[in-house]
This record gives sequence, C-alpha cells and structure tokens, in this order.
Amino acid sequence: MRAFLIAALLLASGELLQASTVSVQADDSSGFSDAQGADLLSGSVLLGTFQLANGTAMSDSAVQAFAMDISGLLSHFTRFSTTEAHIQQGSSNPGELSVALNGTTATTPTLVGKQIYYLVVSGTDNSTVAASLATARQVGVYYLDKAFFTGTVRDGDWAFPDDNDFIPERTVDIADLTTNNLGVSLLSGGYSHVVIGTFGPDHSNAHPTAFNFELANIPEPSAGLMLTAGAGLLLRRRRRR
Amino acid sequence: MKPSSFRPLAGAVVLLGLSVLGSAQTATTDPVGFMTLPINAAGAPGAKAISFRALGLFRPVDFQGVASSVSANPLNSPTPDSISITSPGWTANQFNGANGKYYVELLGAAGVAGAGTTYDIVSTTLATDPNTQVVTGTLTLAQRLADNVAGTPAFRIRKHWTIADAFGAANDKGLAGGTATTADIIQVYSGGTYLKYYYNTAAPGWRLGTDTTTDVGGTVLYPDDGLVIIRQGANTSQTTQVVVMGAVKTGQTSFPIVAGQNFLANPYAAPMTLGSSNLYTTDPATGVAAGFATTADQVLIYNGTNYDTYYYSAGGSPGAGWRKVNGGTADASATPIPAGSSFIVKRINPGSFNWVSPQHPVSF
Repeated sequence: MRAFLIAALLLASGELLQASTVSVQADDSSGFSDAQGADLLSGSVLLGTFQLANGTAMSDSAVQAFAMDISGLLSHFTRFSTTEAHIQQGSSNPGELSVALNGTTATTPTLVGKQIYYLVVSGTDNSTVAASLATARQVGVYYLDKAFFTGTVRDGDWAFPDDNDFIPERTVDIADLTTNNLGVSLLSGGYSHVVIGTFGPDHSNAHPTAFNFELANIPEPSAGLMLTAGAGLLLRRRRRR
Repeated sequence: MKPSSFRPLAGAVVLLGLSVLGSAQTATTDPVGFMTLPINAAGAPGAKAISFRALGLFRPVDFQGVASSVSANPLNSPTPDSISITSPGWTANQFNGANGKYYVELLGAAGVAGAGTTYDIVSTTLATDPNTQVVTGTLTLAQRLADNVAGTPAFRIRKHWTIADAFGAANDKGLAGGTATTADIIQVYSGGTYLKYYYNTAAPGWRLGTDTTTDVGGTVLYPDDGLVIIRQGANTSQTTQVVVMGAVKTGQTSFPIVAGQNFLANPYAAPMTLGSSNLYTTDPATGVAAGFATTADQVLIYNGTNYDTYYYSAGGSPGAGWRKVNGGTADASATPIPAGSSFIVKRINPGSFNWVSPQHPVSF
C-alpha cells in the first residue's frame, strides 16, 4: 500500500454573466492604412452592424451613401460594446490591434445574429473612441459576409452571439476577408466587403506580402458644412429659375 | 498511509487516497482515493454560476489481462469488433446487461497503436473448446478497434460512471436538488446538444431537461466527458464541495476530438498544461491545427467570468507557439488545466483526431 496526495486547483468563482465578448483583431497579416497609404498609426475600431431602426440590414450602397457623413453613418450603426479599441492596442505594429470587446447584443434593434462590421475611424484626436468620432478625418467599413461560414463548424463566426448562448464569444480578424488569412487577395465569391475604403494598394509594414485595408477621406466638419451650404444655395438658385 | 510526493498547491484542495486494487484476473496497482470538486456559488440571487469540472477519478479496474486475439473488421462490416482472452475467469454477461455498463481500455506504452482508447462492451461470452477444454472469453465491442491494434493487446475493464454513481443515487454527494430551474444542473454536451440533468426533490430522482419523472440516474458519464455544473436558484451563496471517490487513471489516454465543440475532461488526478497535454503534435491529423487566432483550432478555458481562448499560433504577429487570443506574443504553454476540471476544444479544421494525452504525472 502506498499513500499519495492529489492536488487540485480551486478554480475561480464562476458567475454566469449575461453578456458577450467579441475579440476584434487585425494582426494575422493585413492591418489598416490611412488614405495616404501609410500604416495607420492611430485610430479607433468599432464593431457593430448597420441597420435601420426596424432592424433591417442595410445594403452596402446604402451605407456608402453616408461615406461623407460620419454622423449619418453613425446614426445607422448599432455599436457592440463600449470597450475602447484602438490601433496598436494589443499589438506593437502600426495598423494592427487585438482587443477583447465586452458588451451586450441585447440592443435596440438587436444585434443577435446580425452581421459583424468593422468601422475604423481616424481623427485628429484618437485618444478615445469618442474623440476619434468627433474629429474624424478618415473612415473605413469592412466585413466578411456571415454567409461565408453557413453550414460549416464556423457557422456564425461573423454574426453577433446571443448573450444567453452558452459560449457567447466570437473572434474576428480583418484578414478573415482574405484567402487563407494571408492578406494577399480577397476571398472569391464576393463574400469580402470593402464598403468604404479600399483593399490595398498599401502593404503592411509588419507583413510585407499582405495588403492593408485603407481608410477613405471624409471632409472636415467645416468643409462638410460648406459643402452642404453650397448645395443648399445651388438648389435655391435653381428653384428661383 | 503516508504522504506521497504530490505537493499540495497554493489554494488547493488536498486529496488523499491509497490502495492497491485487485481484479478478477490480474492484480493492478492503480491507486485509489478521492477528489473534491468545488462547485462555485452563484454570488447573487437569481444569478447562475458555472463550474467546468471532470470526475478526475475512474471506477476501479474490474479486470486486466492480455488478449489472446482480436477481431478487427472492415469499416461498415456488420460484424462488430471483439477481444478474446483465454481462461479469463469471468462469467457470461459479467460486463454488460443487468450488471451495468462497462468498457475496455487498451493498454500500452506511448506510441503503441490504440493505447488508451476505450470501447463499450456489448456482450461478455465464454466458449469452451471441446478438444482442449480451454475456455475463451470474448468481449464484443460497440466501437471499431483503432487502426493497427496489435493482435494480443493488453487491456483492462472498468465499469462506467453513471450520474447516480458519481453524484449519489439520492444526490448525497453535495449537489443541490430542486426543480429544473432551481437545482444544480449537470450539463453534458453530446451530439451537438446540451443535456441538462438535475435531481428532482419533489419526485426524487435524477431527471433530464424539464422531465420530472423519468429516471436518468443510470446515464453514463464517459471518461472524456467534460461536465459543466450550473448552480442556480436559491443556491446562490454557497460553494459546495462534491467528493468523488475512485481510481487514479494511469497510462496514456486517448479521446476522440470531432468537428465543432468538444467538452473534454482532464482525465488525470493531476494538473496538466496546454504544453504537457499533447493537444498540439505538429500534425493536424493527430492534434489541434495551428494557424491564426481565427483559423486555428481553439481551446477555451472558463476563467470564472468568461472564456480564455487559446490556440497554437503558426506565426504572424503573435509568433509561433501556444498563444492566448489578445494575449500578444506571450507564451501560453504553461496555462494550467487543473485536475478535476474540463475545457473545450473547438475543432474548426477538417477531420477529427484522437487526443492522446500522456499520463500525468509522468510517474507515481
């Protein structure tokens, strides 16, 4: 006979929270570049979905109609989580990030099962997400159609979970839009959506064979106002004729 | 009894046991003992708490010997595979039917084909050669034998754990009974479905789902089953200790990993780590597939609030090796999988594989 001791670690207390976690990443290969074609040094990354007030998903063209109007863009964007996520957070490389976002998908309209979008914003002040949005100069909108994984074990990977799921977690990387996540070419079949911005031509400095997803310029607030005012004047003149 | 070389860990439950098992045919030396599994408190009224647990100990060995032959049949053959042994000393139907549900485990050193794989026993028969009077016992198996199993493998037989065996026919091992919405839930993932068992105190017995009458105490808890205990209802303030008594698993263990989610037990009465688990073997046909965070197979470990997700990074910015999602370049190979705990392997790459975990600890 012999005696022995078996040790088992006490695990941490585990309270089941009704919340979801989505890890937002851009560190496989492709990252983000600014509209001038340089790896993005600062900016904020939001996850959410574009939908109407009744929960209807918006088409790419409907989203693109707000490409010059950041406030209009945001008014149709249901954001997941208030967790801050910034370029170079969780990665030391420009244009990259790796951050866990915690929040709820029980929004109004709901996010449950909806398409996950990346909304990348770069402003003159990127110290917070709010600052990026308030001073936005460039924006990019991208997603991998959730239908890409339909019928596979990854079904739902690009759709928001339900807080009540047993595993309400997702991990997405912008390189998922590219073949084998290598950042060289977009997936075939039209599943990769570059709604605002471009895929390349800038390459990642950290992964030179990979293209980055570039942001698009949006007018400065003052310029935007002037454009709006100018358009209004033009309309008035036309009506008078 | 004397203390062993197992060193109690900080904040650990110290468990103690000893013995040498005897079997009908061959004496074995698997030590037995007990393990205490903490069941987390919910923390607040109406809240739920989940605990990823494994039984950590096995039923005693009922028989151990060396086969005289095996019958391994082609895929889709109507003839089930079987193992035979001469003069086993067992009786007909000793390991099936009314005696309960038993399984065979093939034994062997690391690298021996099939070592650590398990098979449910369908029938136990005896036949006497009229010429030689040699008695041969045969175990008919429910699953096909692993490829390339030797003609005369060593094997042992254990009885399966059932819910009633592990947690008490009258639920006397520490879980809270009640209704489907108030009792502690034993959740088992099977065939893509979460099966939720509880002990009904109104019409006493183990029940499944919202069924209040059908006895499911005899439900088998397989060696690889990762158990999730969900504490709910009024049982919000207490952390319960469930005591499991059984035998320590020795030798390597082989569990199937299939596409999708796999809730897996640490089968050993000792902690392992991602690095020591042998979950990654460099070959996606025998272990988790490496890749990026979203392309590699994932290992999810519950941290008390949500899941820490790990994967074997093939490179990219995180570098190569075990990594935690959002954990940067930090080596995660030392991440613990404690004794008595379970975890999830999410196989997202094609094909299935057998996870062959080496004995923990390496020696006793």
